[in-house]
This record gives sequence, C-alpha cells and structure tokens, in this order.
Amino acid sequence: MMNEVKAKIVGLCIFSSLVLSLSYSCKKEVNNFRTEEQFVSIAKYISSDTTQFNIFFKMIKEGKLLDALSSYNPNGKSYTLFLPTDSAFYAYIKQNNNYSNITQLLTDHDFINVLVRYHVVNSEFRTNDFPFGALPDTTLSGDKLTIGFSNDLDTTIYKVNNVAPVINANIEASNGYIHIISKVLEPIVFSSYDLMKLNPDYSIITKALDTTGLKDKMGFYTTNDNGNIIKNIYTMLVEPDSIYHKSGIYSIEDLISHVKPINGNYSSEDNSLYQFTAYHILDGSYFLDNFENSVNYNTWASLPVRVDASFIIKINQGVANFGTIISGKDTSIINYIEPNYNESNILSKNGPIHIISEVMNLYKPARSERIYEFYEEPLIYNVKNVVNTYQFTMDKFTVLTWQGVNEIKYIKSSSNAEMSTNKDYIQINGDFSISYNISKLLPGRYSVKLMANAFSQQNAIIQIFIDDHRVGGNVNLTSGGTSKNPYYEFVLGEYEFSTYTTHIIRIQSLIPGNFIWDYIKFTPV
Amino acid sequence: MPTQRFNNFKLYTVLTGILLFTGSCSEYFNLTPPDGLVLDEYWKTKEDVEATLMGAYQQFAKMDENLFLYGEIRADLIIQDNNTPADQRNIISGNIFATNSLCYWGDFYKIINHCNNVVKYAPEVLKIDKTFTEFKMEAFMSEAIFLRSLAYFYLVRIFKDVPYVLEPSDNDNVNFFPPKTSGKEILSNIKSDLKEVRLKIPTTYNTIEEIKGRATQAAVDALLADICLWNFEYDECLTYANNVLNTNSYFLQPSSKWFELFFPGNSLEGIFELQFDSQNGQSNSLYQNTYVLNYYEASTYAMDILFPLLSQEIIRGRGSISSESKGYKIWKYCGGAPDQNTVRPGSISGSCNFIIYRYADILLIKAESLSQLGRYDEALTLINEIRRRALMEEVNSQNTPESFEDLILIERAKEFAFEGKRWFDLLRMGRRNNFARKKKLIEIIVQNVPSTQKLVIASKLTDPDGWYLPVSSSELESNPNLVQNPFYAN
Amino acid sequence: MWKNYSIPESSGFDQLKFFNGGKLENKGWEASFRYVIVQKSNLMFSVSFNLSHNLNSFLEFPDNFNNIVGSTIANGEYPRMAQLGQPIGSFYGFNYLGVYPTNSDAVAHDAEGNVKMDSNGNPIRMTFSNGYKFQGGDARYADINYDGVIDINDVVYLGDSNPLYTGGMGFNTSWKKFSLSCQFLFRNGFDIVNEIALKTEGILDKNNQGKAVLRRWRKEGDNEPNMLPRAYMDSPANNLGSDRYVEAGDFLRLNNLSLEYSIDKELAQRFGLDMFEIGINLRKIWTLTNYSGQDPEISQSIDDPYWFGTDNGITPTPAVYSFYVNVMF
Repeated sequence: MMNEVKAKIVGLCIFSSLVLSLSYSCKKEVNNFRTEEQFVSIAKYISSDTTQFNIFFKMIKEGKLLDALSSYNPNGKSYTLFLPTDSAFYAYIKQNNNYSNITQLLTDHDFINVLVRYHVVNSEFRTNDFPFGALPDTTLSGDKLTIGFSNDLDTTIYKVNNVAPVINANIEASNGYIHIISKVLEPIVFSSYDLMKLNPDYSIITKALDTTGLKDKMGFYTTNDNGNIIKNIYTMLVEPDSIYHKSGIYSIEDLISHVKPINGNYSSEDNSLYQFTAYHILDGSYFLDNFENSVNYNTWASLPVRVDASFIIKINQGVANFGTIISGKDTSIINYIEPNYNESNILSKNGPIHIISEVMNLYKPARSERIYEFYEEPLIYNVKNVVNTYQFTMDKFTVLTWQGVNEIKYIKSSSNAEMSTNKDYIQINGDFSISYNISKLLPGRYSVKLMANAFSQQNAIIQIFIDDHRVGGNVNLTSGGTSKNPYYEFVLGEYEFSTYTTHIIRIQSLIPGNFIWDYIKFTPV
Repeated sequence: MPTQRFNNFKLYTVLTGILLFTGSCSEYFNLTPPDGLVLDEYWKTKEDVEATLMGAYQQFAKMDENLFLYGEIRADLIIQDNNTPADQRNIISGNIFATNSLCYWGDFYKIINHCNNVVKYAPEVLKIDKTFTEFKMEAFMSEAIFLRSLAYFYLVRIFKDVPYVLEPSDNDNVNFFPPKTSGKEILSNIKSDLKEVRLKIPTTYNTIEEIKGRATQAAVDALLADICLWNFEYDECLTYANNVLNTNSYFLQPSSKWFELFFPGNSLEGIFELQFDSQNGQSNSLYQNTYVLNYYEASTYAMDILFPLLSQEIIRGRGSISSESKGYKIWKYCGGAPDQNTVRPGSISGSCNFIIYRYADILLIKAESLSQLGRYDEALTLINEIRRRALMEEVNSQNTPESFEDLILIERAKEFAFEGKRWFDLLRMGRRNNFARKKKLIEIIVQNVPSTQKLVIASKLTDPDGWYLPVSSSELESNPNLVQNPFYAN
Repeated sequence: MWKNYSIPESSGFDQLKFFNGGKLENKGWEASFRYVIVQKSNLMFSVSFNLSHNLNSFLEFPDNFNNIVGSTIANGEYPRMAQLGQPIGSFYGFNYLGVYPTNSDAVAHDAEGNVKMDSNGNPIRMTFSNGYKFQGGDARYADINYDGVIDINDVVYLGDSNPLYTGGMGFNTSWKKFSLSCQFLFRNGFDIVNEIALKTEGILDKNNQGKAVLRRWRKEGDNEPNMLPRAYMDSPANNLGSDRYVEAGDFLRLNNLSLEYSIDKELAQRFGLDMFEIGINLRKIWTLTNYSGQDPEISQSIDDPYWFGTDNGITPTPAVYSFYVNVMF
C-alpha cells in the first residue's frame, strides 16, 4: 500500500516537473521585428545600387558627406541630390585633363570635398518645382544650380546647368529627392569674363571688354561704396560673333566704326564704345525666370535695359524693326531682342550670361514703374526665397542703414494670410531713422507710393525724405489698412528726379512705434 | 451491469446525435446587423427604383462646383482671386500633385454606383411590383444609363483611363479593386449603350424642371454628338446633332432674353441642366464661390473677348462678367440681370442651374464637324447664327480647317464662358489630327500664366499625358491594381 | 474583422463598415489531469493540473492593407499596428535607453557608434519627427535606422499581451472530518503596458505624479542610474510609447484556499440539524509576480485587431476572506 502510494507520488512528481520544465524552458523569442521603412535614405539608395553609383559613393565617403546623406538635414528642409552615374565619371575623366583615372581623382581631397557638395542642394525639389533658371536654394557648397528645359516632341528633358541631362527623376528618399544625371556637374570657377575669353565664338565682345578695360571690373570681388569688399554680381547679355556678322561687324574695328566714338579713349566712361559694351552688363543676378514684366534693369552704362517678360522675353521692345513672322493668319513684327532660351542661363561665379538674338545698341526705354523691396541688400537677396524671420545688426548691411534701434528684422512668410508683396517685409520698432539707398532710375517725374502695415495702434507716425527733401506729409501708420489686409499704399506725392543716379530714401519716426515696410514704389507720371 | 452499460451507451449516442444535428444548423449563426437596410428588403417597388435614380441626379447636382472647375481651372478664362483654396491655386500654377483634392473621383463613382444599382435591380422590381410597367422600367434604366455615360465621359476627359465599373457594390464579394480600362474603350462602350437607350428614353416629362433636369432623348443625342466630336467622328456627330435640331423643341433664346438662360434658367434653349432651387433647400455651390467668397476672377483674356468696353460684346459680355466695382466676377451664377451689377435676390441666390447642354452648344458642335469635313459655308452659317443672336457682326474666314477651328474656339469661349467647357474644347483642339496643333494649345494656356511660370508650364504641357489629372494618391494606395498616369508616375 | 475599412472610391463608397478580410490563425493545445494519489477511508489526496497554450497570428492581410497608416507616435501613445506573423495583442513602440546627460550627448550616431557629422563638420543633433532637437535631460530612444530622427521608422516590436501558458493547479485533501482545497492560477509569457506609470511618471502635464519623479534629471551633467527625464511641460517626446513602461506580467496566484470542517452527524442531529459544516474560504490571497503595478490579471478585448494589454488601474477584484456555515434542516 505505501509502496503504491509512494510510486504514485513519485510518478506524479516526475510528470509535473516534466510539464513545468516544458512550460518554463520555452521562452518567447524576443523579436526585434520592426516596421519596414517606406523610403531609404539617400546614402542607402546610392550604396544599394552597386552597378551604377560606385564612384559617387566612394566620393561621398571621401568627402565626408556619408553621415549627412544618411540623416535628416539639420540646416534645411531636406536634400536634393543630382546623382551622376559611373559612366558620367568615366566621361569626365576623359574630358578633363587633370586626372588620368578615378583613383587619382579620389586623392584630391579638397576638390572632392567641393565636388560632392556641389551636387547636393539644401532643399527638396521635385521636377514639378524646377524653375527655368536657378534653383531657389544653394548647394551645400554655397553655389546655385540652374535648370534648363528642352522640349523633345512629347517629353521634357531637364538639364542641370544646361549640361547635365536628368535621366531619372523624382526618386523619393527618406531625407530628400534624387535625380540621376548623366554628366558630372563641374563647380563653377570662372568669372563671366573668363567664360567669354575661353569661348572663341564670342571674340568680338571679348575684345570690346578688353579694349575698354571693363574686364578689370569683372573679377570675383569688388569694393562697394562703403569700402567693403563684396561679391561682384552681374548679369551679361552677349551676342555671339555670328550675330555681329549679320550686321556686317567682323572685328573690333568694325564694332568701333559701328558705335562711332568721339575719340580713341575707350576706357573713359563717356566713350561710346565703353557705353555700348557696358550696356551689356546688368547690375544684379537675373536668370531668365527672374525677369519681370515691364521693368527697366540698370546696366553699367548710363541707360537701363527694358525687359518685358510676358509670354516671351522681349528686350528693349521698340528699339528697331528686325523682321516679321507669319504664322497662320497672324503676322507679328519683331521689334525686340530675344534671349536664346536653349543656350542662356549660363552660370559663372558672377551671375548668369544670356545669349541674345540681335546686336544690342544703346536704347533709352520709356520709364517703367520701379518697386524697391530691399533686394539690393545682398543679405536680404540671398534669403528672399527662404521662409524665416531674420534679425540683422547694422554692421552687415550695405544698402540699408539705420539709427535709433539696434536691429531690424526681415521676415519672409509663407502663410496665405500674409498680404505683403512677395510675402516679405522689414520691421523696425522704436524711435528710428532708416535710410535706404535705392538703385538708379531714369530721370523724370514720379508718383511716390509707400506700402506699409497700417492697421495696428502700435505703429509709428513717420516722415519720408528723398535725398533729404521732404516728400508728402506725416504718414500715420495706425490707420489705413483693414483686418483682412493690413497693408496700405500711401500716396506720398510726386517727386522729380533730374539725373540717372542712385538716391537715398530716409524715413524717420515722428511718433515712435512699429514700422512694417513692404516696399516703396515710383510710378512715372 | 451490462444493461446499465447498454443504457449508458444509448444515452451517450442519443446525446452525441443531438449535438451533431444541432451543430449542423448554421441558421443560428446567420444574423443580420441590427442597423441598416438589408438588400433584399429594399428593392420592392417602382418608387424605390426612382428614388435611387434621383439619388444619382442629386449626386450630380452636388458636383456643380467640380464640374465647373474641371472645365475651367486649367484653361485661360479664369484666374485666382484672394481666397482661392490652395489646391486650386496649385492646379492653376501647374503644380499638380496626386494629393490634390481635385483628383478625387469618388463623387463620379457614387453616381455610377447608383446607376449600376438601378440597371441591375429595376428588372427585379418589375417582377415584384405589379404597377411597374416595362415601359417605365426601360425609361428609368435609360435615364440611369445616360447619367452613367455622362459621368464616364467626364472621367475620361479628365483622367484619360479609369476603372470601368458596371456592377453595383452591393455585397462583399464584388471586386473592389478593378484596374484601369482605356478611355477609348470606355467611350466606345458608352456610345453603344446610349445608342441603345435612345429610343427607350422619354422625350418629355410633366414639369419644366423634369423636362430640363431629367434625361430626355435630346439629352442623349446631345451627349452622343459631344462624344463623337471628342472622338473626331464627324459624320456620326452630325447625325446626332441633327436629331436634336429636328425635334423642333429647342430654340436659341432671343438676344434680349439671353440672360434668361441663367436667370431663371430652364429656358427654351436648355437641353440638360442640373436643377437647383434655394427655396426648396437645394442650393448650388457656385453662387458662394464666385460671388461671395472671391475664389475666381475673369482673366485678362476673358476680359479682352467679353468685357463690353473692350470687346463690344453687349449681350454676352454684360451677362458674363461683373463690373469693376463688383470685381470682374463670373456673373452667370450670381447675376440677377445682364447689367453686371444687379445680384440675384437673396432668397434665390443659390438657384442658378448648371447647364450641361444647351441648343447653342449643339449648333457649334455641328459647325465644328462641318468645318472639319470641309463644308465651310454651312459651318459659317451656324457660327453667324450664334453671333447674330449675340448682336455681333457676322464674320468670314479663310476656308481652312485651322481657321475655322480658331474661329469656333473663340466663339465657344465667348458663348460658353465659365460653363465648364473651355478646357475640354482646348483639349479637343490639341488632340486633333494626332496632336498637330499641340503648340497652339500651349500658347493659349501660357498666356494666362504669370511670367515666371510661363516657360515651366510650357514644358509641362509638351507631354499630352500631362493634360490629364493624376489618380489620387489615396486611391492608388487602396487599390493595388491601379497604375498612375505615366506623366505623374515619378 | 475590420471596422471602417477603406476601399477604393471606384466602388462608389470610401469605407466598409465591417469587412471580413485577411486571415487570422489560432493554434494551441490544452492539457489537464487530475490524479488521486491517496484514497482511503479517512484520507484522500488528489492533485489537479491544467495547462493551455495558444498562439494566434495574422496569416494574411487584405490586398490593400497598409499597416503604417493610422499609426501615431506621440506622448503616451503606442502606435497601432498589425504585422504578418505577429498575434493580435502584440504591441510596438520605441526602445527607451535612458536620459541624455548633456546637450552634447544628444547627437546622432551611426551603426558603429561614431558621432555623425553634417556637411559642415558639425555633429548632427538628434531630433524628433516634428523637428524638435533633443537636449540634455530628454528621454533617449534607440535610433534604429541611424538617421538622426526618432520617428515611425524606429518603432520596434515590444511585446505580446497574449500569455504563452495559462494554467492552474491545485490539490484537494480530506482527513476525517476536515477537508482542505487549494487552487492556484498562473499565466506566464506575456507583457503589460503599465499605463499608470505612464501617466504618473511622464512629468509633462499638470497631473499628479508619483514619487518616482523625485529622482529625475535636473541639470546638465546629471547622470544617476535609472533617473527619469527632466520635467518639461508639453515636452514633445519625453513620454513616448516605449519599453520603459512594458513589464512582464507573469504571475502565480493563490486563487482559492478553503478549509472546512464537517460536524459529526450524531452531534448535528442533537441540535436538530441534518448537516452542519463550517469553513473558511480565502480568495486571491497571495500573488507572486514581478509586475510593479496593482494587478497583472488584465482582461482581453476581442473586437479590436489592434488591441494590446494595458493596465489602466481599473479596480481589481478584491481579496476575499469569508467564513461560512452550512446547515441543512
């Protein structure tokens, strides 16, 4: 009996220990199963395609950009990478005489650093966002890239810097977009003059730049009125030799007889050869999509160039009758100069170069309305497309100066409720006096209009002076706007400019307060 | 002991037997959800059929704003105003992404689903409801087929290739994930559907709202003519256009009464109009959007061709665009009189019908077909008839198809401005003869666009696939069998 | 099994109220036995044991199922997901690694552990998906894909609310007039999200917090083990759904213990009773568990495919001590 019981107990214990050990030994596998990533990072995309992008991947590692391209963009929204294929690099080596093979290229650390950064833009752009001109944001190396369009029957081919066709676009990555290009983008190292000099098709205009001495003013840097050294930014409109030939000009001597100067002192500013040549250089950087309609653009000569950019860009419309086109039953007269769309937007360190269709002689256009929105100030011009609030102190500014307050703000907004032109304005608060050095405008009588926020009780009451002459009465900024649109265009009066020169607008607070300034406008009367 | 065991055995068998039998009755597990009407309880009377059919009409009416936008927003007669919604601004500026709300085609498919239901179940109801005549059933089914075909005609012109759904979504086993069918195939199918129902559909109804608001034989002919014109089948188009002319029930409004097309609507000239009546709670959306909310303004081109001071268009200009003080707004949906100033009275502000076809449209469709067939004199007569009615001088033109095409395009722009037709007219021109005049379409569109955008938009329009909208991204996600329009595929 | 399931608009509808799509599998086994060890006239001893094991997993999803859409990552939220091969009741979240002692520690690292630099050579700061840059004192989560951002791509599988084994055991014994029975319940192999801790240790709103928050990060350089992140009103990411609040819920519980004495029949009849029994019954008097919350016995929901077990501090069933008397007339 006891043995039976003992046996039963022993059996029971064995059985239960077996079961218990079974249950405790099967530990649940810890599964670090995670969600599948929808998109991989740019770096991962490049490294995962070993057939096409080996070389660029090596360059990223060499140029210390691997970390950045595998993470989010801490200095901007996302990245846009223009990714050259391996065959693009082989073509580059062949064409370029500095390196005999890829390995040698990879040893030039400084160049690689700049080269890889030159292919990455600091924002995200899909082909839908491509402008016909420069991308609004810079590359990681601080330069701008341009996009050209060429329409081929049924498709559009995008060309970066007008040289590198995009063969596969809009590849979405977790930290930006990738567009694959079939040529390597070379960082710009030439000035506009250098580019002209290197190209034998532009010998006549280059000779003119040499003869007039303008070439010395076309370097990378220049000195501004305050004595500061700033980047030398200008736009060139040039004619190739073939266009000169059409007008019977085959050499620099022919050009000289075409412009009929008084004397041989070609480097003097009064000399008509100097004026003719300087007329081809515009102040500021304007890609083809930056030209606005019915605006006079200042040049290095004593007259501006007039551009009407509606459907087609017309330069100096009315200057001469160049011909007619008949299409269907429409007959249109060509009395303007046009840029060559497929070959313009050429990048240099100074700005774009555009090729034009006719010889551009000096022409005094009708006065145009001028709106001044502080874009002459390089610091503001560089950020005018990037939404943010900027605080500036005066030591960095060249065109705007102020007293009475320490800093001013430049605000660029993206909200639909923002009613200022281009959604940007400057703001200054207190008992201030601010001076704005506006660029040249053609002499004549203008109606002066000031656009500012006029809806808040905190706003100031201001007085406006042009070249130290009082214009208009006291402007009360506390009333005039509405709750929907707080901006109001105050008509200050009329002012007559006697010379084609720069002017200083000074605005002073009579009763201190807030001043939100959108623009100042001059309309010819 | 054995008996005991045998009794037990009997007991157990009986018990298991009972369990097995009860387990096989699955009726216990068929439960209907407590809320919601179940399918077989609904389709019982002819009123049920008519109710679903009316649902389709009503759904069409809800889309008045979208039908307006699809026909105008990418064209050159309107520009954005202060409050234009962001999605619409994006389309106007050429930034069309698959996330845009205008790529949502669900509203069209709701109409199609209602119509599919009618087509499938009306014959079933015929068997049940003794008061339902076969004649009436065919009439209802024809109306449903007309609405379904109209919806597909819009879809093909907007998206090019779309899923072609003919079965109603009435149970879980329906294929919810159909792939795209080519637009060409869809159009050929709806054409044969329409040809079949032409004779079964009523020619008239009792009330004026029904005559103009429900599908009639003339509406079917008008739609057939439009489809044939879209397919460039000119002779066939003439047949159907002539059918409408020969009914002698539709006439051009007299010049002085041109604005009665819109206020009060349902005029002699209207063939098919989406009906609205604010006093009965059926208001349109266009009054609010064009007049109150400042969504759109007439473009420079529209002003050039229509504004009375610039174009001498007295009749049509005064009725199409409001005065400067009112902001150059679209006048057809908010005006109370053709004087560019008097707004509709408040009680009927949202009552303006949305006209889909009217007699003048048929005349110009006929003129377009005639001119493409080389019958220029006949075409010119029709064009001048329209112009005479608008109190404009008669025109003449060179006898080439392109000249006439340009002439008709302008005349249509002036006559049907803001009626949701312009973009489709332009697409027709662009597609004709294998895209021979594609450049002209690009030129026309680009004139309406700000200067920084012109070159960009011109490039975007070089690929004809870009003339259509992308499939909405949410639809692509929920239907793995759909592929995106190749222009937007990246 | 899905509610309000999205379907293509080409059907004429945008949602199905109820949709039976996909496949779910449940498989397992159950075992129970009862063994009488001793059976004598005045002594009886038997033991019983039962055990069940069930695994369920998603076998198939409907054609257009998107398991990432609808997942939010925010303070206090565990993203709702369903994965093939994983059971209903599995939950996902971030891997919590402690607290950044200083600002300069809150930088991104690559797979080898090196600090990542941006294009200008500066270290890349860790950010949360809404752009917030992590600082000293903030919670540190594992950056699974090393991209410098804590977002939905860093979510990992954290645990399973379904127990691996559920079972019970007990014994029953009687000796002369006494009888004693005892029943245990155990569940093991499951995890619980301790929502109470989540709400009382987050330090990001105005609710009462537990004592644990006294040992939180206060200034740059603080680096105590097990310290909590800093107090930061409306902090964007310091209380995300992570394994910080996930605990094993395995428990062994003495569910039922009763001791009974049956009085002699003759003695009872003297009082005019046919039967007289007294006893005590103790329920839920002892639990062995590592779970730090109130009660690891969580109820399971069956109508939500995204359900997982959380302890919301619902009042648990109480321990009951009762004394009873059974009489029969």
